[in-house]
Amino acid sequence: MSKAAGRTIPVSPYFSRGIKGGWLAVSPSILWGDKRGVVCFAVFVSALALLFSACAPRTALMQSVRTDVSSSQFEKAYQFYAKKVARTGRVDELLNLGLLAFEAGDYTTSFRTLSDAERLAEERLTKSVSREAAALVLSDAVSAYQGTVFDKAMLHYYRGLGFLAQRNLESATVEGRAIAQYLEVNARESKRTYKDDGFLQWFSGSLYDAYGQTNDAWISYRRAREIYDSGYYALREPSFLCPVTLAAVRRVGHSESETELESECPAAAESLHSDWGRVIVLCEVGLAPPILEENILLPIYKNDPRDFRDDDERDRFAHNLTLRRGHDYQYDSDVTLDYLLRVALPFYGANYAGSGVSQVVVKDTTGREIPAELAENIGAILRQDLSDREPVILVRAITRALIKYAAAKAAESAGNRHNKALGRVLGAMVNVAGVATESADTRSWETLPDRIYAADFELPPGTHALRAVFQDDLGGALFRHDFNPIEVKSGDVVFLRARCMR
Amino acid sequence: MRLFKVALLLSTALLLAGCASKVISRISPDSVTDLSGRWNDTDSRLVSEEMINDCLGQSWAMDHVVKYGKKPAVIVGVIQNKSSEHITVGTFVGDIERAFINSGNVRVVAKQVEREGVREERADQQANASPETVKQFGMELGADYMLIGEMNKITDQEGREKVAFYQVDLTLTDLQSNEKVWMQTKKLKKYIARKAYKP
Repeated sequence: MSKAAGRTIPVSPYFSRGIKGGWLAVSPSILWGDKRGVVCFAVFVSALALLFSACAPRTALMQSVRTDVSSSQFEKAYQFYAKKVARTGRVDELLNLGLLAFEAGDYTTSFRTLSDAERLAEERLTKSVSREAAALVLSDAVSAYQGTVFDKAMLHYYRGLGFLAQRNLESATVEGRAIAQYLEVNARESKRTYKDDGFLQWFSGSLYDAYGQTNDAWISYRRAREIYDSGYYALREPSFLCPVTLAAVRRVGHSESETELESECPAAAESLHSDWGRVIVLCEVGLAPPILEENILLPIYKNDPRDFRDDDERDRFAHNLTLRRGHDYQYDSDVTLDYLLRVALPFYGANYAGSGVSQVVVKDTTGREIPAELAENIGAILRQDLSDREPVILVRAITRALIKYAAAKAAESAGNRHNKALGRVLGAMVNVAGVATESADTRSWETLPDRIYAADFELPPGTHALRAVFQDDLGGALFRHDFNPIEVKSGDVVFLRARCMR
Repeated sequence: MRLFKVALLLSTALLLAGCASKVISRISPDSVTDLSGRWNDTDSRLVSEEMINDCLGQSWAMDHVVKYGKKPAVIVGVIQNKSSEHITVGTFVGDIERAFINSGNVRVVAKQVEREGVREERADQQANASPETVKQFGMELGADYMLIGEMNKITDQEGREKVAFYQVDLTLTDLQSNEKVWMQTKKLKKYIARKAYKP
């Protein structure tokens, strides 16, 4: 049976049926030419299985953390998680810990932990051959997790917010620059859907603006608008983006762009106040979806190839096998099923709802309501990213299953040369190790919110009390967050943030 | 038997991989150590050496002595970090202050943060120190010049190769006349290549 978190599919009895010949042309098969070789391999696989068990995803731990976070018990979740993953060397755990520390107000630990995550992720761009080989034989969860591109951009967002909370605008702006720099490289080089980030570009621009680097702010805003206009995860360009871009352009003094923007947002062009301050409210909602595990069974026929000249030929066969996945696959009538190949794959649950919040408004003491608009759909970004990686993950999983199956059969046949009982024992040992180690890579930054709403508006200089109201799709208030009174100064930018777990 | 040993060795190595102990050794502070490719102690040292040599080698301090008949007093202002890295400017700024003082030609006034602590102590003296040792308010040394500057970074990256260009600009400005009496720029360029695989 597969993991409780994933879909449960019984392993077919066909799985244990024998086939003749080896599956591996380039493989450790040289090891099992004799009894000692088989023992060696069994010892090796068992050790790998033991090693792997130490690296197994901490599903139960994250479940507990998610439960606490869901009920806004950030401090409790942070203390618990920090104790459990103390001295961790895993990027996903560092990211989760860093965000929990941030939520709990421990900004020093948050910055240090997220910096460690960034450094480790960078180091892991250089892949370890031994780890990759182990991942190919055992599970993708063995490979060194380096975080997604989105993770590496978002960690700057939280570090920036941490500095803003400590009233350190210069360091926050350093993070804004890091976002812009990282996304610029990714936009050029990424072959996946997530290339650049409209929300983070706007956030980066806002930090530039607050620091007085208006020209850089304008460039970031312009980029953000381009991204939203290109259909950024089905999000519309937030209505505040045109006015803030216009305000930046006016300060820069680029008349051509100013005229263009004035025609795009004429109302804002009339109402911008150069002597007012600017307030940015970031409203994060829910929890990002967790990656689950599903087990799929792929049919192997008796007339399928057994021997491969090299790894490429085996990989091609693995790729062809992916086409046998799914209910719409047309089984040939003239083939005989030999066995079913079981592979574990990561997936996001289709019915997961990250939050019941449908809209957010920011209210001031005069009763004025400013809508916070959906600016970042993190759940959608994560789902698309996994979807982009899925073909490669599937081929790797099938290749791994073929290797494991071949190893079990080879161990069995090597043992059979001495006696059948030994063959069965060795085959079963390797098979059990193979099954035990088969799991999907479900590591991710799970403590991220599901969506981010943002409001960006001007207020006259003075003290203001603001409240964010998180509403359901009928407009009913699910959660209210009262911000501490803020002092707005002419030309300044004030950043506020709230998170709703309803 | 040989295969058995190899398998056993490999298995043990794998199991012990997670238990690798920390290695710590003392090295010279002057040694060049580049680990991540980011701004580090070597960069800071190169900047301070360049700035000190140039600043003390120029005529502004002697011009001041000739004009006013006393050594110039300098205060370190804000060095803005306009890079995408968190850079501790305190290290090379401290080196510059030290070099000024040790040269015997320049006086250094405490920075704003340091002054606050000193003033607190002076306030405390008013209540607690003996009359003959108590220090008076309003007798601080006013700086003649302020050292300000900024750090910028430009990066260019393609695949696993990256070039990082750092520029540190320092300016010494006359607090009375706003005249810039000394300016210097230090540029550093780093090439960082990352391997695709390691053993």
